[in-house]
Amino acid sequence: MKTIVVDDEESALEVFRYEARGIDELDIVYMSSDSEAALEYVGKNKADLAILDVDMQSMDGISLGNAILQKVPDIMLIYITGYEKYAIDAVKLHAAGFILKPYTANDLRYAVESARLLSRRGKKKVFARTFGHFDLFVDNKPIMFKSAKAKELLALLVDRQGGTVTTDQVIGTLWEDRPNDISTQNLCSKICKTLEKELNENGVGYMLVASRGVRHLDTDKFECDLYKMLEGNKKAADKYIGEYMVEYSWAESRTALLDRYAGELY
Amino acid sequence: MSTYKDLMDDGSYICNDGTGYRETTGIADGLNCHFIFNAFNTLKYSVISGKSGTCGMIDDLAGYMRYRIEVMCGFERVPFREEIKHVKSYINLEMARFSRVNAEYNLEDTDFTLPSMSVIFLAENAIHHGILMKKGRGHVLINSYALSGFHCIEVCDDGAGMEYEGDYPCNGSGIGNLPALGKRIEDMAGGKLIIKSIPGQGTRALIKIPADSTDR
Repeated sequence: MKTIVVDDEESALEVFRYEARGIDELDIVYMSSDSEAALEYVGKNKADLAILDVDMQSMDGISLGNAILQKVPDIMLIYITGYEKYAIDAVKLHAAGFILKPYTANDLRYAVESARLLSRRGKKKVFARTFGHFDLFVDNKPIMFKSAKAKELLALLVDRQGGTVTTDQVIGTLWEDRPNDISTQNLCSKICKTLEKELNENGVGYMLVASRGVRHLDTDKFECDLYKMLEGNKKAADKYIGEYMVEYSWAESRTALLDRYAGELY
Repeated sequence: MSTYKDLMDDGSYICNDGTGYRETTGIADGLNCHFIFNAFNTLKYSVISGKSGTCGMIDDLAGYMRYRIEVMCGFERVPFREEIKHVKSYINLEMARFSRVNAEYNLEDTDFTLPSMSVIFLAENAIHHGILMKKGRGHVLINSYALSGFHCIEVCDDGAGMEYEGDYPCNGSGIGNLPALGKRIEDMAGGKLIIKSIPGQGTRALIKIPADSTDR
């Protein structure tokens, strides 16, 4: 989770950094002792979680939380304070979590985990299966893609693990027999639009990020057996039996690598 | 007689509801819990970053907490030396927490007594409503001197300031905890509290205690 942290005490930020070391979910993208600068940051950059000190002098944490919510309505908030008199105000604002200073790494982990669970509530569960045949499951049901090519494009994007894919790369992979000319490029952009539309129709359009001929997936927004195995998850590796996106020829080259990786996990 | 209790938000830090004594939120205000827990966090920072001076900070915090507890138990008029010792502990801890806070002391007159907590409250105001309310570094300057039959204690800051001038005790409302503090200074020592604040320049608080005042 892309996380910003704001506390007007530099020393408190250092303590935070220390306690957050072992918490992998926290991807700290911004830390500041300046409320206004932080507000500007969330206006321009992506953030999933804001961890704010309540008791700040120039703009207090509760006002900052309010202002951030105006800009990013679906951001999660966790408040930190030295004394809990402020707890009631924070709860009114639907803060996902609340931590008292001084806090342990476990206090922090618990608050982050609660915030994460709370933010998932009401959201769709999205799972990309790559072992065996490729499918995208939304709330445990596979999407019936109307366009096979759009589905293949999605598979390619999943295979890239959030990395960007250009139009040339899409053509080179999905239409390797066709010349890379205007008509193929038009076909490619049509398929990209179709994929966008199909994902939107299933309520998961947010996982695809596309701009000016380059596209990628937001890997925070779905789960994937491949990613889990690569993270060293043995349960995910159990499901791998030497088959990866079997319907796509371009995916074959992966299997040798995955075989070796799965072997190393045992 | 006005007591320390009047300085609380609700004046009822301990109340008896028939089932024995029960603590209310007042006790937290009386101890300044917010400051204490933040100070613990600063101690952690000091340990994590391997800074020297952590032991001194623990001594400061322990001494300060003990003093506030004693004051809550009715320790009302104290030697100025005692009060200033805890003022320094308090300011040291705030300086460790906020690097932009600085302090200077110029203590010529130290041999008298005054209502407990009076200088600490003014130092809290200077830091939190003065220095921290503006950007950049700021200074607290504490002076004590004898002048025409008075013991004078000044707490000055070059913080945010505000458009304000007032003498306490006063008729009418006043600002924040100043009316209660002023009343206490008059009741317990026959003294006065004088505030002058200018936006952008800072605030000067002056306590004047008659040299001939005895414990009342």
